[in-house]
Amino acid sequence: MIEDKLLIWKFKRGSSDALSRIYEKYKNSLLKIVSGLLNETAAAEDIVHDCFVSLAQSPEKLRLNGNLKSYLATSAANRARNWNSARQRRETAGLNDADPAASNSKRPEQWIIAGERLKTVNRALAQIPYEQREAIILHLQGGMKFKAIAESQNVSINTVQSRYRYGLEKLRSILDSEAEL
Amino acid sequence: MKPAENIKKLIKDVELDTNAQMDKAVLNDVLEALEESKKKKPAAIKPNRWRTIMKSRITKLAAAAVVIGAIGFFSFLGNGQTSLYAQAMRALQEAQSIHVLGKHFHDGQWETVEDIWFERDVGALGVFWSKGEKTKVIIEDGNSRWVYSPLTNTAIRSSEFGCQLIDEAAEILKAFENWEDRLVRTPSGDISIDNIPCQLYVLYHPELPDDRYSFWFDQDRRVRQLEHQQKLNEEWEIDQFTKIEYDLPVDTSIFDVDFGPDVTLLDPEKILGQDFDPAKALFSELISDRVIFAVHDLKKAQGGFLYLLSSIRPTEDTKRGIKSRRAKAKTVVPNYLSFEFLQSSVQVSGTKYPYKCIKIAEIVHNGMHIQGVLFIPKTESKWDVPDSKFEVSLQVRAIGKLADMLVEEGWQEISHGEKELPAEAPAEAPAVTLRLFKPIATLQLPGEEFLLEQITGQQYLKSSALEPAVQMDILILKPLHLMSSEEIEEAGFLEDNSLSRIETLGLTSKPSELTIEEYTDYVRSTIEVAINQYQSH
Repeated sequence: MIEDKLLIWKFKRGSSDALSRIYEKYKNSLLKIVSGLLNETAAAEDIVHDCFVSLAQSPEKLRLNGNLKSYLATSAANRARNWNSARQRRETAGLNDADPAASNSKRPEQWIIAGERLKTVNRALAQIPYEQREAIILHLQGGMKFKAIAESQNVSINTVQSRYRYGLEKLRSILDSEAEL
Repeated sequence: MKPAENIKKLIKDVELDTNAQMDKAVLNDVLEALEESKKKKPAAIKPNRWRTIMKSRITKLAAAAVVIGAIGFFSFLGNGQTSLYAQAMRALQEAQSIHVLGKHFHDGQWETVEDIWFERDVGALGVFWSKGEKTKVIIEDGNSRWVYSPLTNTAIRSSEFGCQLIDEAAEILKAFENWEDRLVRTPSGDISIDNIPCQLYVLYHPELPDDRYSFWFDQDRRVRQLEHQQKLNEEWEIDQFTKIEYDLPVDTSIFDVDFGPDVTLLDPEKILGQDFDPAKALFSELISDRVIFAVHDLKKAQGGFLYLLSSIRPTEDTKRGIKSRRAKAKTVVPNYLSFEFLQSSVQVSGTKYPYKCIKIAEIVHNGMHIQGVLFIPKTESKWDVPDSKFEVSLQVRAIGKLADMLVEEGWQEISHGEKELPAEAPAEAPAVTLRLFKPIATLQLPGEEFLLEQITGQQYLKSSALEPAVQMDILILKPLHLMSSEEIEEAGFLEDNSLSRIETLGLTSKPSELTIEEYTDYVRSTIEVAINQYQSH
């Protein structure tokens, strides 16, 4: 935690070294979060890229005593949520001309090198409702408190906890059925 | 079947690597963005650590220096003695006047980046530069702070409500509390500053081997000089230098609020006071003799929605009481008051129809919390009946000294712990209290129905009026939807308590960078998401 405070402190002073360190430290966890939320590699890459660029553009937004990991996780989740809403709108309007799986495989300059386990987990996560997915990923991978997740989603803590619980149940069921096949 | 713990572990432990080439490309973009932001906002991120940490410059700066430097002395003095930190803080608090001069080494020469003067019980003046150009002037008189930006040629007033400069400075202590054993007494660097012998202490941190901070303390335990040094080619080079002088004569006319004849003066509080005057509200309620809740506008919107513009604020007496109180907790959290709507309902002939609330605009300013919200019917709307009433329920939350006051009025203090404050704070956290009002008001529904565009347009124009203040970071209008919980929390805890924000689209935070149509679209999509959310349940 002290390292994060120091990094924030230096970053707010304009230190590119600190920003590089923040990037190195949190890029993987952010990528895991977004790829879990969207199950789409290209979008995850873009969103994480945008998160860090946005951070670089506005150092004043970071609070010295803030939780850097939670800040970045929320930023990524908010973008992923917007992206997901846009995807739903596109799908509703029949504008989605690309299959997510196909777009993943076509991307030559892929950034994420995903392990099998990640793919398995993300496949299962993609089968549960987005809100439940978000609660699970932000809590388990993002390390965020339910309170913080509730605020970022503009819902009550009870709602987040329910989503988390129901989501885990469904996930367990999905993974179990996959194992049986 | 896998136990739940195994599922959690599976999710937590998934592995992911990144492509180094892409990393490099992305990092290039990120660093380029940082450089661009430095050009655009030199005042906000110039390499002066103090500026970004503490907004009220003068005593905070000096105090910060003392705090950082003095922490290390705890380990030298041991228990039973008055710590050097305490001595340094006391010396600072007792100083009648302070002068801080900050310089930064840039492009081979020293440039002044800040020149700050403070006279106790009179005022403070701070002038700030970046790359030789003046970027900001701040004048404080204890009640108000005026911030002048040459860029906009506007000076904006904000209130100092709830601020205690020295206490705020202690914020930085949190960042250095683990560095006690890193401060090294270095007699070889002892020097005389203005003919006063000073001792050098150097702060190192193992995580950042190429940075070090030097502090020179005089015999009265005052920080006289600070330097930041960076290691370049195995040599330590100074890139930042700050000198602090105490108790020197100050010409107090420098604290007069006079920025020149052509400068526009803007007082956001005045604007907010006119637009959100409880005396002119549709409804107002004094709660526990401490805070006022008011409804300023209620409109029916096409689509079955209700628009409600409301505010909550401490009374003037409460503000005065808060200002005079000393914080109980060591952690300083300025006072914070907020409210959130609970499920509310439209009443028609004794039947209640539930409505869900979504925020479309929010302002936090000087103890006041304002929200523009839309209520969305969770069932078929029935409001066409003439005698329909709207029953508004909400919860009010207070933190800090205001919470102490409300607890004295019978409110229940609630556990904060991990739910309310940053993980690192709970041991020293201030009070938190919360009370539900079910309902707080029952309002007659108006007859006229408005388009959503009319409502968002009205909201947008209110924000536009405050925009000049945004450019100086006195007010922030930003997309709430994209704010992290820390940012939301911060808005309540910020140094000058004078942040405002409004939901907008994407990352654009200023009305001038966003059309009314885009804002309306954003509100529509928010409604859509909200409806999807509750329908999925």
